[in-house]
Amino acid sequence: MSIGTSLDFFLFVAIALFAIGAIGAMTRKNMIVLLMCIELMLNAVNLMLVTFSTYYGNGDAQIFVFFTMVVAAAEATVGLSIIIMAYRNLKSIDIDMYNQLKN
Amino acid sequence: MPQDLTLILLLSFPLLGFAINGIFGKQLPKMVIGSIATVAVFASFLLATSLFSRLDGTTIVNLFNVLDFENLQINASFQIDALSIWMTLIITGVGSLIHLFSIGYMSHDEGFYKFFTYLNLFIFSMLILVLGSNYFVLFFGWEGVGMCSYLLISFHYNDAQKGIANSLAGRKAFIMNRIGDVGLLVALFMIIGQFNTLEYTKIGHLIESNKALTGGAMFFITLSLFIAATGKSAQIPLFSWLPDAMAGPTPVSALIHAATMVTAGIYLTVRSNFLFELAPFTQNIILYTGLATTLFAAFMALRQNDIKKVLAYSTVSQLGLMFVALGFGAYTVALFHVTTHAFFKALLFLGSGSVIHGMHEEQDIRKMGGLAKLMPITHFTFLIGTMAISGIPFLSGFFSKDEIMAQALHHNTFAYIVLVIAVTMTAVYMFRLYFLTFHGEFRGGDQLKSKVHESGPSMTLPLIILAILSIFGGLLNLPGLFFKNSAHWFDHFLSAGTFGLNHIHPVHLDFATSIQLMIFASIVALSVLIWAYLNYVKKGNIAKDDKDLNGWERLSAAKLFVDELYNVLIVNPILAISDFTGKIIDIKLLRNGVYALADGVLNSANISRKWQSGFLSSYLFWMVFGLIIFVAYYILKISVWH
Amino acid sequence: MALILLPLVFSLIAWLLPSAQTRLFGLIGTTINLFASLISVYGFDAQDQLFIDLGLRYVHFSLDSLSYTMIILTNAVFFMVYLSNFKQEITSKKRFSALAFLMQFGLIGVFSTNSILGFYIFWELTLLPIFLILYWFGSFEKPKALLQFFLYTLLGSLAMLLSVIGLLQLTNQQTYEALLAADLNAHGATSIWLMGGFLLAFAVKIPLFPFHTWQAETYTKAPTAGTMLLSAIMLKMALFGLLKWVLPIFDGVATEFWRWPIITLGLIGVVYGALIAIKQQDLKTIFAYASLSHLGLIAAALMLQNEITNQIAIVQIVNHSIVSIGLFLAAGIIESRLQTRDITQLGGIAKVAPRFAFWFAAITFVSLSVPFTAGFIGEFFLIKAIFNAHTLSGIIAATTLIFGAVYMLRAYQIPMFGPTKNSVFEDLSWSEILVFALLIIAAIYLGLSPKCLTDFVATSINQPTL
Repeated sequence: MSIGTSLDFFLFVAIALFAIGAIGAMTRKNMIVLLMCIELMLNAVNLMLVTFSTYYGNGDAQIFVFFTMVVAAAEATVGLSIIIMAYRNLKSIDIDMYNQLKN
Repeated sequence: MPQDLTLILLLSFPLLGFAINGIFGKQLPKMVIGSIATVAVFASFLLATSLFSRLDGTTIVNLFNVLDFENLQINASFQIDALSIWMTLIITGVGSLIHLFSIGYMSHDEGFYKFFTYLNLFIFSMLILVLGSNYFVLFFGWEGVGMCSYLLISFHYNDAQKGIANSLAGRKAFIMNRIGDVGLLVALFMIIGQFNTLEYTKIGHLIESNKALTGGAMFFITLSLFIAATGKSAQIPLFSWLPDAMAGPTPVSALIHAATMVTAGIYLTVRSNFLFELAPFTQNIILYTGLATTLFAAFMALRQNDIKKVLAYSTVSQLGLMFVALGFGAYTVALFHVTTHAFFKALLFLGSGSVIHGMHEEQDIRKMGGLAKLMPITHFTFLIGTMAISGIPFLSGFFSKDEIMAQALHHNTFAYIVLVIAVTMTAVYMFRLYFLTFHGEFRGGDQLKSKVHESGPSMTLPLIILAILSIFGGLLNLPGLFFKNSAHWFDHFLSAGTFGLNHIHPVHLDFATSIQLMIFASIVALSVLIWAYLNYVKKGNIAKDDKDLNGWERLSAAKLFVDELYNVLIVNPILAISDFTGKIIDIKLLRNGVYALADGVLNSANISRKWQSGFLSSYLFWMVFGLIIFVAYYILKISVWH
Repeated sequence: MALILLPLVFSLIAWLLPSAQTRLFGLIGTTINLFASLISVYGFDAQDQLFIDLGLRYVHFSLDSLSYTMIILTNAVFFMVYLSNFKQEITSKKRFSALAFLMQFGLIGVFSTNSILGFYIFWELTLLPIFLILYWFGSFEKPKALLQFFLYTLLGSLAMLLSVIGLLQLTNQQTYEALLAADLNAHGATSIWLMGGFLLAFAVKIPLFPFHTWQAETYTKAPTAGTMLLSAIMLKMALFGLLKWVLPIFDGVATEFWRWPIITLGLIGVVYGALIAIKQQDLKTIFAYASLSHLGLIAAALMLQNEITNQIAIVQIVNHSIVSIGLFLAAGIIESRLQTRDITQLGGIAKVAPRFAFWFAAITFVSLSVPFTAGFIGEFFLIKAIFNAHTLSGIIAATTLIFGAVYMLRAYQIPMFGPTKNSVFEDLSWSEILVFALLIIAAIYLGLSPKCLTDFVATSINQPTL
């Protein structure tokens, strides 16, 4: 299996993951699902970074991926706690309920 | 005492009186207030006589420097010469008599101390006006007397019925004077531009050394000066404030609006004689303005029924007469009439004041009559004043008017004819006033009649003194046919002692013409006297009610509709413009324009913020949409355009 | 140094002090400031220039006789404002005192700074306190009117900021002396634009027609103390900026270009303000338009760049401060006693309050520039300068004498002498009489001896190029 075909393969997976995440974030209204979609997009990017890192034989990007994963973990924590706080306020995790800042 | 010290004292006495009465007046008894004020002015009069007796050419007293710029120095300096001292004598002399009169006249007034404070301030300002040695100091006094005039006209602002009318009359006077002041201001600017100084003597010397100065510049300077004079001296077109100014207490009318302030315009013209001599066209304007004023004002006086209004129009008319003399370049003649007019018009006003006082504030001559028996001294002095102003032979007015008529006869026959008409009308309205007031039956009702009384000595004494002056004032300037040697003493005195006038001498007619002129004038005056006596006393005609007036009488009583004309032509348009600018331009156009601009910004924001729906999914959608456009653009750029 | 920083210190103290002492502290503080400036000027030679370094990098200070004049005027105005509003509620407010002292600091900064950046910073600094004073203590029904004032001045300031940046770019200099030395004529059109930016800021503040629409509305809705501060001293910043900074620095092409447009606007303001004032009903509105009329004249005269005129303009600036404090005090007194300023609702006050009638009359006459008052000298020479430059303009300017009499006497007579509508009117308190008396004395002193002021400022005005 040449690296060329496998690169395409990895990239397709990454783009697919990203598209699923993006469409999910656009259409779904449940905040937890939204968070999961965002994570999905992040992971798609991570996957791409790893792919290109291997492709070019340069390890820098892999180190970045570790950073991103750590940040993503932290973000998930913060995000989930925000969602819990939000739920306590309005008894709902529908994102469309949260538009008070509009006016 | 040296001259400069005398002068400073002379100026400071009225100021001191003003300060004392102004600060402590409330606590002082009325007698003290009146005495302080009167003594202050009288002391100035004594000092003025001392200066007069030592008069020697022109002395300039420099007090202090007001402003000092490289090319222009403005000093608070004063000039002692024949003209200024003569004016000072009139102001302080007649002024102290009127102060004395006021003590009695104002005795019931609650604003007693204020009245004397203002009067002293007025005397001070007027002295500044006439004694200043440059136009700036003159302007200082000029504005000052305008302010005092305002304060004194609207003095009875508290009056229940006429309070607001009084203060409006004051405002009218102030504003009309201000129009004249703008003329003076412009004249001053042009004088500075032309001569780089405001000192009379310096300007005079500059003109002497440079005879080529004529034409346009001089015309505009003198015209502006004359506009200033029309404002202060109530000439057409700025005369209508003076009759309204009668709203002030009667002593004020006598002092400010008859004897002194209104002659400031004449003083200004005489003082600037060297400028006017270079502008013959302005002199013509002065002549015809004076003629028109004297004629129209005399006409308006014919059917006035307010005792003070008659005298007011008469003052306007007499001032016009003085301007006629100025128009002929006969400066000393004009001043001679200023002098005699100060005597007899102050006398008449004070007499009318005495009448009004005795009649308990009644001013309508239709309600008077038969006062000769009730107020003998007032009656007698008023008669002298009437005879003097009407030109009955050998009283002061006879001589001073005769001089002006002589000038007119010599220069301009048309002017002479107009003057004869005006002078005849003067005699007519004055005798009408006199007979209606003092003869016939009392028309004010029995209740009032029982209360009418002769005024006290502080009021009758000034009347008597002024009456004596009105009789003998003519002696100052007797024409040559009476005393060969001492003839025209006043002419010589002024000409010799006043800068510029030593070149200009009024014409003196030859013996035969003088005699004819005098006889003619005497016949006119005496025949009017007889006619008036027959008409008002023998036939017992009294002033008609307004509805019975015929055509010309109505015109005279309505003052030729001048006020109405000004309202239509000037006042209302300005008010309309003010409304228009205030409501339409400022609010509708400018302010709302700014608001509209702000609203526009706000509205555009309102529209664009709709995009920010608050739904996360829509934000994301737009984000992705933007990304796609972005990426598509670059793909296209690379693949298609290259 | 203390002169500049004292108000800032007082501002902080005013925040910290308990509310009960605010009123007294305000009066004491302004008095201290006034005396500090008077003592400081006592040892000052009019020929000198005093450099003050506060250790700041871009903002330096220098005091010359012109700065001193304006600083003393500022301190005197604040003192008067406190004294005249001593009985009013506003002076007992902590926020007001803190803001007022902050504003005083800003104004002194404007008048004493030596660098163009400092000028801009202090200029902006004064806006904040006055805005908050208006916001907290004014009676604005709609935020729009207040916003109008704020945005107007901000817009002007923005234009000025651009010009300041442009000037720094162009010359790479920022102290006053260096800017004077820099030759801007070489830049032609650019210098015209830069000056235009400054002029826009000044035109809004002075204000010149047609940038004046904020004025009447702000004046009427502001608390009396705020109106006094605005009219008596804040507007003078613009005239000061014109006189000290803009005209000398842009001397040449740019000034030539802007001279007649600004004079025209000034003169339009003279006539326009007077015309509108004739028929207004609200006392404060009348005085606001009168202010437009008077300041237009000063601005027009300053543009002539004549040394004598500039000196006289200072006299007139001081006179206008005197007049506006006095007039707005009178309007404020009427408002606080009768809850209205509409002259159709007023009448016969003179009968019940003779002392007020007298002092109001006196200040009215001062504003009519009768003899013995500073305005007499001021108007005479300013109109003369304009007349000499252009005859017709001079005559137009002179109409202010006539119209001034019309609207001022109307504003005085109807409330005081009109048919009695107000039979109860508490006469003046001691502090109000003191203010009026001080104002009149100052006006008369300057009217009799304008020399003391004109000579004092002469050196700093006549030697703009060092």
